Amino acid sequence: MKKEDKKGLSRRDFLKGTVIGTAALGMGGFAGKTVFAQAKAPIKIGVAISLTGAWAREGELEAGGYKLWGKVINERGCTFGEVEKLGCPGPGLLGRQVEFVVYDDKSDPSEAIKLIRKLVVSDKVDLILGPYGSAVSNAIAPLAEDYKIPIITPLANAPVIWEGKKREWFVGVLPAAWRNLFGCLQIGKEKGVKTAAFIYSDTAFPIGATRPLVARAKEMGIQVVLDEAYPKETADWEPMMSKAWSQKPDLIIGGGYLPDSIGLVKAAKAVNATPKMFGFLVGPAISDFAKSLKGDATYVTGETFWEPFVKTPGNLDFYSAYLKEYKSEPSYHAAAGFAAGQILERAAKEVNNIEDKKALRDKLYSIKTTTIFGEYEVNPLGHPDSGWQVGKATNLIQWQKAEGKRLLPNQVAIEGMVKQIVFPSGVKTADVIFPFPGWGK
Amino acid sequence: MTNFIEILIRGVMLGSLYALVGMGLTLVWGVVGIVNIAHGEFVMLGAYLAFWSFSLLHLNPLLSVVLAIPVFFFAGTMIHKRITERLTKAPELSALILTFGMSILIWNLAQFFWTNTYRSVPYLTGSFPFFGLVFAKSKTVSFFLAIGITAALFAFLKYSRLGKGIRATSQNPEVALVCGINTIKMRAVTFGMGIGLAGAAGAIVSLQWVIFPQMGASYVSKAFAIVVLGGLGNIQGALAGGLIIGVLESLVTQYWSAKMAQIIPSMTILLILLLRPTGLFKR
Repeated sequence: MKKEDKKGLSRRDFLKGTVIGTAALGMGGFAGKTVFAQAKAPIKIGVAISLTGAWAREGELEAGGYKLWGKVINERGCTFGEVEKLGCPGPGLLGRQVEFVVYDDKSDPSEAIKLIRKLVVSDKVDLILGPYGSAVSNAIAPLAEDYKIPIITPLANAPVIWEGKKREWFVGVLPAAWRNLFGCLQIGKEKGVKTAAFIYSDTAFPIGATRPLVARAKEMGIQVVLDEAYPKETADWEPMMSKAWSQKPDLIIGGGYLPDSIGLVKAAKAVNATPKMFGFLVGPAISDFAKSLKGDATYVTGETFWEPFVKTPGNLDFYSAYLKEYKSEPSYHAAAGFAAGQILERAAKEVNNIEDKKALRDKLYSIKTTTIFGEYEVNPLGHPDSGWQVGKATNLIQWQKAEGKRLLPNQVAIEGMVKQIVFPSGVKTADVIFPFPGWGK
Repeated sequence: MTNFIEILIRGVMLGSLYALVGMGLTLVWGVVGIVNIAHGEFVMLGAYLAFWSFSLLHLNPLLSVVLAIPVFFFAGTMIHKRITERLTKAPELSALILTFGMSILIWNLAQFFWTNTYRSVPYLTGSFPFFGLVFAKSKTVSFFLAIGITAALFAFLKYSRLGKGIRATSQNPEVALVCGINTIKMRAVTFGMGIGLAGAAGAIVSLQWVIFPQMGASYVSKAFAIVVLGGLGNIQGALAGGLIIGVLESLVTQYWSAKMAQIIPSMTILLILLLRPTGLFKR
């Protein structure tokens, strides 16, 4: 565990730290006062997540959130915010240490299916926390139904997962994909934009997020000049951006994940694309985006589900704990992973056991709570879209110059820029800068 | 029309980089007789070399390209002497399996030491106008670098004594040996050159795209298509193959779809193997 304090989370750290470390921590650090906890078998939580492949970074961050939740609950018996009100009855969840069994799905949905089977059948895990992304979540969702084991998936929201599927064992944490980047359209409409180009990765989440946006843009009277998905394997986004910019749209919206967003911004500058607004899905909200692009990230907007400075219960404690553990800023992926643990924590404590899977499932489908990530409420059992998150709100961020700005607690400047929430108006921390002033301005 | 010319030139620029990656692979394949699956990983390492030199030492990334060639050449010759030389007489499958294992080892080590964080080199960003056309600064400079390296490679192979030895080893190793050419040395030098080209290509890639441990896979698949298109071991063919794939990718993305453009390398392999297995440019 000392090793983890020195550097960022890696796959090996995570495996060691969770499977071995959490158990060792419980046995060592609390041996004198947790006889009750030690007497019980640990709760084994299975995780099949992307630690290599296209979504390795996002998976790693999410896994970091899981691990931190496990560490905190193993130490305190509760985590932060609302769940603290249920009491902290000593180390572990329900007096049992939490252990993770983690596998790498290699960002491959078919690999994830095999691993979930392995977790349930061979490893006999008690519970499962979800993978990264909609594509993998959609692939494993039927297994939750088959094995009748509840799965909380923190970072998936493509409609294809829940829409009309009547999922009974699979709940989400993210707001529906169609809410993503709606702020771009709304702001654009208010500012009088006429055209938009949509370019996005050809995978479940970007498709699920962008296609409804295209429809909404048309409803709002914005002319869609390009609507095209590019392959997940794309490494050079310049041809795609060049194609979009050849239509001279007012808005360029889409992307997919972090490398897409970085690549698209580099490509936009390379072809001198200067629409009135850029909006990308996953990426702009992650600090790596600004660190990688430096000043070129300025004025780019993106979707965020959480920020360190949002006022959710326990958020400041989570932020401090994460910073202490990993020596780096948490992203929303980590926060969502941590929140999935908190949701599980709440449901398990209210049911008071984890063996009765049906009772636990019923609780997950009926509770309304607020985690460090925000609200949690899913469509109830019996609903056509049961398990789909409906409580959580979504926000639009924009990187703006930090110079002369007064920062909020936990709001940090990176490369001379600061992330500001610019939509919706109820939670915004700054006015949007519109139109895009141009590169280097 | 302006737009078409712009797209076409961008395709040529893209293709020059693909050609650089493809030439390294075809050189090793043709002379050493090893299909180096780990070729893409050396591209990745080249990109990281440029990134770290830029971030930690503030070294100009263009200098990293120059630096990458001797560094990777030396690493390549060492790898060949210690590991791959013994595979030259082994069945082809042995080399495939070994280099596949090497590929996994390299990117896992890269991931372990450098994590999965996506990185890029913010140098030569932006574009410049050219008679009404717009070209990315990084791609334009990359193009000239790639052309310079390619020309140097051609001259080396054609005029230098070592280059002639490499060509002789490629054409007929037994006869070359009889003529007094140290074929073991030629293979080591060639392997080093192949890795050197991959490293240089990686350093150039760092100027344009996102750097992460698994980035090599996308380059190696394109490199295979280029080698098949140009003909096994054919350097000129690899140059032409790289340019063809780059231009096709650029034009198909613009006038058809990006998804179709991504299929081009695999379609190329399939069509060439079916219609002209020796490649378009048979030696």
